[in-house]
Amino acid sequence: MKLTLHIWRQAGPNVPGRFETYQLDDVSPHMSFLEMLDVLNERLIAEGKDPVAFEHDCREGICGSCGMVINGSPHGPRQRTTACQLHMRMFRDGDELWIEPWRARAFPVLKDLIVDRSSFDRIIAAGGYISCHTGGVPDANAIPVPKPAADRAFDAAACIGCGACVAACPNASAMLFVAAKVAHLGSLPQGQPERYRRVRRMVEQMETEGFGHCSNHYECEAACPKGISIEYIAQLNRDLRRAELVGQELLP
Amino acid sequence: MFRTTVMQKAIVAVTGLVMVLFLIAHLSGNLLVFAGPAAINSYAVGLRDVAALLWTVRIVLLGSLVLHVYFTIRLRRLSYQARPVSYRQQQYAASTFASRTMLLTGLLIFSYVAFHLAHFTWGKIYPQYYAATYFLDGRGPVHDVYSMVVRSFQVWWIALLYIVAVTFVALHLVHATQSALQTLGIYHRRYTEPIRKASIVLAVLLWIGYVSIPVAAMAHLLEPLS
Repeated sequence: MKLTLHIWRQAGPNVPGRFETYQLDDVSPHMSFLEMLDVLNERLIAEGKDPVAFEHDCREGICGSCGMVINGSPHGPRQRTTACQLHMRMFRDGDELWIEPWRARAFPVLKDLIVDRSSFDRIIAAGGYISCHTGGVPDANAIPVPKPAADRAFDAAACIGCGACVAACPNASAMLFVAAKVAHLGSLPQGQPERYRRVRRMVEQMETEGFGHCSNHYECEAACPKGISIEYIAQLNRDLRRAELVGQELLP
Repeated sequence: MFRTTVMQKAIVAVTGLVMVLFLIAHLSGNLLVFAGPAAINSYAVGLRDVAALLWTVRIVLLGSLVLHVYFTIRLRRLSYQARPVSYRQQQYAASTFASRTMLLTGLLIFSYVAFHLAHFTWGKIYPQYYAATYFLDGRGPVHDVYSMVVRSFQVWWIALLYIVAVTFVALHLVHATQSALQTLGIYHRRYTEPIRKASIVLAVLLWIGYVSIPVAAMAHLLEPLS
């Protein structure tokens, strides 16, 4: 396959970036998208040029490290697929690809396609945990969890924190990510003691980081490689309203 | 309590739903124009007779409108700041034309509402049509809403402006109703899809209802008295 790549190149956080164009003449359709970029980088290194910086780790779609906007879609055109699991057979010979980083104030570009997603870490640190005693391993099933609650929490916990929801949102909102974390812990008995404090703190941190608001375009749900449902956003809305209107001290 | 965008959005949702209810009630009243001058004129004067209720509704509506616009603009400003560098290309997968033009349609509706009030409520546009009176049986001379509406809508630009504005209202509502419910946390695995469809059906029905009046006037299916 022959491809024309327009890749966002930016040397550092505080310098302006721009698209640069590269021609690749021998791309195998069996390559993953990241392997295709590896091939380009090998060539750039051989030519003594700066390779394209992009983030990656597991390359099997479960770590949430990789992520780039390919032709206007986060993680590329294939639904429920991370960029590392996207294969070049999804494209056609002669295609022109525009590759950009996630674009959000809360995700500043570090270099080329790598953005700083530590804002997500700070949201988790604000409330995305449960407090419990460490020590011996508790007995399995010591705390009964209803099956529907376990399923609900499990589906929410599928979030890998890649940031595609923010990248896809016309408002650069992080609501789907925060909602998945809030719903994951808030659906389980272990998450109840801090349920309302958690949603409050995580939402406040989300806003401090400079993410936009949710206006229900549902682009996040369509872009999410793990298929996290916007029903968790509804759950976050309910929990936060309860936390704000009923008052923290009256809540469990 | 309303520091977060999530709670501010809840205000936008509640005030929006209040205005959707008003649109339904307003249309139900307007459609009396098809029942003849006596029906709509006695309805109009009846509304003025229950002044306390009328003013309560007006104040609630004005309050809703102000809060709705204020918080929307505030939230939108944050969102513009949230993405300082825009994409070269963005492929939409789930959002709709209606959802992406909410601010625009909202502002256009807002400007039209001012004109609409100046026209039918304050009588500043075509005051000669506003001045017409009607002799209501058992009541005496009252404001002739029927002839005012029909004559006004036989002026082509007034009818056109109205139809365009109602189209913006319908477009706004295609996204609005279901979005407001989602913002208020109403989501159901089975019923949310029907609710989204019903939200579009409501928008279309309101459009047909509102547009039928100027169309009937222009087609001379309705004629002013004298």
